[in-house]
Amino acid sequence: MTMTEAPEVVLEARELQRDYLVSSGFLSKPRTLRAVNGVSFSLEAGRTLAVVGESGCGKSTLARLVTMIERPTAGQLHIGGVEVGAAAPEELRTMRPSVQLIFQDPFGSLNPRKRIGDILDEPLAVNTGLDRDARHDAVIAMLERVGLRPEHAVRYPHMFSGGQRQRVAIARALILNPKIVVADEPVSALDVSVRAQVLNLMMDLQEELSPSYLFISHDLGVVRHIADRVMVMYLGAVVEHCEKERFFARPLHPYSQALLAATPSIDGAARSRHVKIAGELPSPFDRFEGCAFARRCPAATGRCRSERPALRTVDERLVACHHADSPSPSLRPA
Amino acid sequence: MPLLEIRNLTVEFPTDDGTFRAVDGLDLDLDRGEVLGIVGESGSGKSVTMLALMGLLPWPARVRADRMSFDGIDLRNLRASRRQRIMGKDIAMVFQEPMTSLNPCFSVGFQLVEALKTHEGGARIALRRRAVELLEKVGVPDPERRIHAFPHQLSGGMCQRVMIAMAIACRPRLLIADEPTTALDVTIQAEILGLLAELQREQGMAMVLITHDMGVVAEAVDRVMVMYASQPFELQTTRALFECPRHPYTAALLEALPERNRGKRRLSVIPGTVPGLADRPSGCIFSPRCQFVDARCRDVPPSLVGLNAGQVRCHHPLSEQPR
Repeated sequence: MTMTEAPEVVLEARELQRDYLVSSGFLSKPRTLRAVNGVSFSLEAGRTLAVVGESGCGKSTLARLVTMIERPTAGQLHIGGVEVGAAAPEELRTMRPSVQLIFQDPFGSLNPRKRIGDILDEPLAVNTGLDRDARHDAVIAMLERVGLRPEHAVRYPHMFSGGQRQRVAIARALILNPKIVVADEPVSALDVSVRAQVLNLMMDLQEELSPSYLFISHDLGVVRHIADRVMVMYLGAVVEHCEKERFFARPLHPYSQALLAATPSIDGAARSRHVKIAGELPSPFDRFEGCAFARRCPAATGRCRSERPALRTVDERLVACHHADSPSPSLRPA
Repeated sequence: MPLLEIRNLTVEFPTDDGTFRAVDGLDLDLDRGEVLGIVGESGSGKSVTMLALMGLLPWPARVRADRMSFDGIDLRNLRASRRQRIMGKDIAMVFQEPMTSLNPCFSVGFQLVEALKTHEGGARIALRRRAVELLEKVGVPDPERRIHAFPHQLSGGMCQRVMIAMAIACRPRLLIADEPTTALDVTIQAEILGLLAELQREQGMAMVLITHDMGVVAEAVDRVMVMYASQPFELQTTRALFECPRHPYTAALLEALPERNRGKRRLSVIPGTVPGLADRPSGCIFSPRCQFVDARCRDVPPSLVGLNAGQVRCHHPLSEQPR
């Protein structure tokens, strides 16, 4: 939790904000889209923080900020104690290898014209002073570590299945021994049986090499398995952030509850409580006074529509809801 | 007589490396008003089965079946004009990608009216009124205005509602929904599944729901067919399937779900990968990955046999011990 002192914090985000200017047609002034709006969190060494939310909630923009692909419009990002916004380009260059990214689609994220060995070699060649033989040894060792065979190094991506390609993508991300790995929906393109293999691999590698994972996902079943902490986002802002067990035992924000209720479950009993929300995500261009979720929230009151709830501590977690501590029978599970 | 009857359906695609069999010996009966789920991993043949049924597989696909009939009509060698009268009217389909299934050049109203005009005809004003009614029925807010909207002006969930409106426009007796919610967010998925269930009940139509998501199966259908690498492996009622799966593959698949691994650090996995064209085993197709495999499994392909209310393709079906 952000408020308790952690052993080692590898990443700290304070009030991150990212705006995009979106063209709204010829001659008219571009509009501002606030993709990430005041997000604060910290990531501890060797732990996993899951970012959960629906499309358009800003989770991928957050990944682009954390990986230093983009700079925040406002707010601060500290990685390994260095503030990214104030760092010189040379300093940034040395920081980048410590943050790596795993993409969702293993078919699009590997260069089809390169052999697997070359794909894994490139980060080493660019960022380390190792000679060719040493790099080759490192590549072979990494391939074996992710469950592939040394002879796979000379093959091309199209010769592999989706699960194997994702193993290559994971190997590429971890070959520089990064402190932080941002995984943007790493298993959502994979089938159930392969998904389990890849999740196990990610957890094994975390134990061996202890990177922190920022695990972006919409699948709460997967999140429940792999995460230590859960952060729920809605329309660019954090609505709930807490430790995993506490979150799944009793989510406090109505949106978290709705997400959990909407996730199909194979065990009928798990779905006894059913929170229905109607409608869809409002346009991110809309500016409204109150809570962003108020229009879809079944428990919204006048106050929700007029006053934006701040993130506050309730029941040992952070939650942005006016009614998080007032039990409402329609919403709170017994 | 069942509404839909398929016997020994085989679909093959010739490739440079030999013939690829996408569906292998599939039997299926579907009664009026029944809801069936087909679940399987990618490449298991679940979509190809339904495309073959619709006659939507282009050359060079080879479709063969001993029997493939809908309401007594033989679908195997139907003339194009006759097929056109059935498909889209009595059998309708909803696809996975709502954004790409709709034509971006025409308003959703135009596309809805087109479907109605093709199959039912009538005056333009009446058709237009029907289109508005249909949009209202599938829960599109403000249908009078939305009928002029183009697909890019609607969200994914709204586009899928329009697709569903088009599919049910002519009151089909069989609706095939191919991964209708895979591209959508979970809260929208819940709404779309609810809508499909409601329409199915109200219109009494039969429905085939194709999905790879076990959770969706558990919530939305009465009976499930599990497919693996072109073959149906198990056919059961949903309840029986989740309580005591009889095929080792089904059991292993369920055990690999995070929900069945609470409190464990590692998820249980199915070792290996789905066999491809080159390494297709001669016996049971699951034998290289099965933990109960023996010599017979490696040599003799099992056939689908009846077992209580269901069917299973295995020499050694699991006992009826509930989990």
